[in-house]
Amino acid sequence: MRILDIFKSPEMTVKLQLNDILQMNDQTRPYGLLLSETQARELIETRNQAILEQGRVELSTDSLQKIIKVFSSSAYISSSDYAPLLNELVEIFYFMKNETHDRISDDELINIMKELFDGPSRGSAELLKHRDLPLWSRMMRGNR
Amino acid sequence: MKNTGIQKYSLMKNTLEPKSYTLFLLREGQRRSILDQKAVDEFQELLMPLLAELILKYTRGESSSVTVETAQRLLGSLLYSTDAYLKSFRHKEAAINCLANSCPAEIYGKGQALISTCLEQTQILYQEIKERKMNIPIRGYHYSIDEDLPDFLNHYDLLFNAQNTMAGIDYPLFSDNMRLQGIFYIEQYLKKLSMETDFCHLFSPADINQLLRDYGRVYRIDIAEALINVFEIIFINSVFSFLAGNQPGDLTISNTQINMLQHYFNAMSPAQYPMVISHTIDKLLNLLGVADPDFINYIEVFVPLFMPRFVNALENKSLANVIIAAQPYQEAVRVALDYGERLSDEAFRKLAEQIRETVEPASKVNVIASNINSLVDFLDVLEADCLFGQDYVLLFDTLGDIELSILAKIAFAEQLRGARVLKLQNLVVAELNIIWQIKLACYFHGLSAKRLDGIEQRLNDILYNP
Repeated sequence: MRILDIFKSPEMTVKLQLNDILQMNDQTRPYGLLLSETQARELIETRNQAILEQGRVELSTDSLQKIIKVFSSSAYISSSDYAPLLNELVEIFYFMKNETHDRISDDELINIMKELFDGPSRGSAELLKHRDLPLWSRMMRGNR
Repeated sequence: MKNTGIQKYSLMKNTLEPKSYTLFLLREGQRRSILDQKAVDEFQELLMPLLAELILKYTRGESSSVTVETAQRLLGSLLYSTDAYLKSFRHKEAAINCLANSCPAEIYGKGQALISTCLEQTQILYQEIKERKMNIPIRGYHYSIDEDLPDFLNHYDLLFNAQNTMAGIDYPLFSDNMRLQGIFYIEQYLKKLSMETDFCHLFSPADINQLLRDYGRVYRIDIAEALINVFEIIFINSVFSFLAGNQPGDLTISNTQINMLQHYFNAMSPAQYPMVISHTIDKLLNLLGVADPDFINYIEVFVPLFMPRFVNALENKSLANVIIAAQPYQEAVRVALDYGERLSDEAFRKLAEQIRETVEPASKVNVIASNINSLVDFLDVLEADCLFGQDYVLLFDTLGDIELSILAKIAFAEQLRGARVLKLQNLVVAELNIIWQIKLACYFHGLSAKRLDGIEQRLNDILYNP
């Protein structure tokens, strides 16, 4: 038996996280962007999987909520591709946290992702992940 | 931070949980039915906001996630503090009751306070030890006190990495407790070092330095570089010198006295050895005025630790390897090891390539002779895979007795250390792994007895006096 099971009662955990995510609908409603409960569950699962794959630990959904909040204002996101896009952005976010060796704060990284997404990537998560963020990352390393 | 939710993944479970007294007590409390599952669950749930807060502090609020390794370290640090407080209870039951009746934040806070106090006291103790530092020619001792310990104390992070001992302290104690971590390890290290230092100060610095020089000669080591515990050497010699009839406080013992001790112990049953030695220690400490109960307690492990080595030495009639006899005066022959100017890395790389490309062994030797001025470079050439077969013999042929004896000392230090009589002819090639050393041993085997005598004489003469 492991005493320190900080991952206890996953049902309760998911329920708490789900509430956090669904509450974000209040802020994204003006942009016509809403997540259903199923989509929110899927987003949490994507986030959990991304954290696991990147070997990270997070005891809150703060960064997920920030991603939703910041990207909801993008002109490139429509209600039909909102949920799948969020899933991709979450994966990219945790990947980049490791790529940047935690030198960039959550807010800074999310803002840069948004800037590139709305700029050179023109709303393409594919271009953001494979072209514009790696380019930015190289430039950033060169500057340090 | 709204909640402490996190996904359940067995991978992280396995990697996150550190060894901890707190967790041990939770299990123990459950086993003894002092804590029920609900209490254990509650404790865990309340521990998580503390970790979440620590993560936020660690990232200065800039990131809500950290790598698993960082989370593991932070959790370890958190539990180090709770452990610190729970270990302050004399009885386990009291600590478990504390777990049952206090919230983790309270235990954590009290633990942090204890660690902080311990850090302050350890810093004071360190200053005291620094002021009483012994004047002995052992670099590891001085380096540990002058560099390693202040480095630890200046960089100790009681918030994010309290469990880390960080400092690689070279100087060994007579009896160290390596199970301790963080500041509590350093505290016990310094307390023991302080007691050892107090004891060593009972003897004359000149006698101590003479004993260390003799130790170096017996074991054929450069004591300046050796990682040896001075207290233990002094303690053993003082006890047996006293047993041999010398004055308390005398460290010297002659070979004749060692032989006498050999006969003395041979005349009794091995079961009596511990009693005789313990009795001698008690009497000696009494006469030296040593009454510190902590010190008496510290050296209680001496006899059981020392006995196997002592019995073995008696059986093999090699007591002089355990008790250091005063060595006959010998003028130290200082061989001017030429550490001459070393080549730069780039120049050395080019030279190694040149040697490798040269086919004729004689030409190779010429290239080496005309370019290498330093012993270190010479050794690097030997290890640079640029010599083959006959090259070695020709190269060794260019060296004189002194150079060959220096190479022998470097190459065969381990084999020579235990030997009472130096005989290069007795080198066992099969025990060697490095090519140039094998070639050198073979080279020695091929030399005349007269030439070997000369080299062995030089080898005996090479004393690394501090």
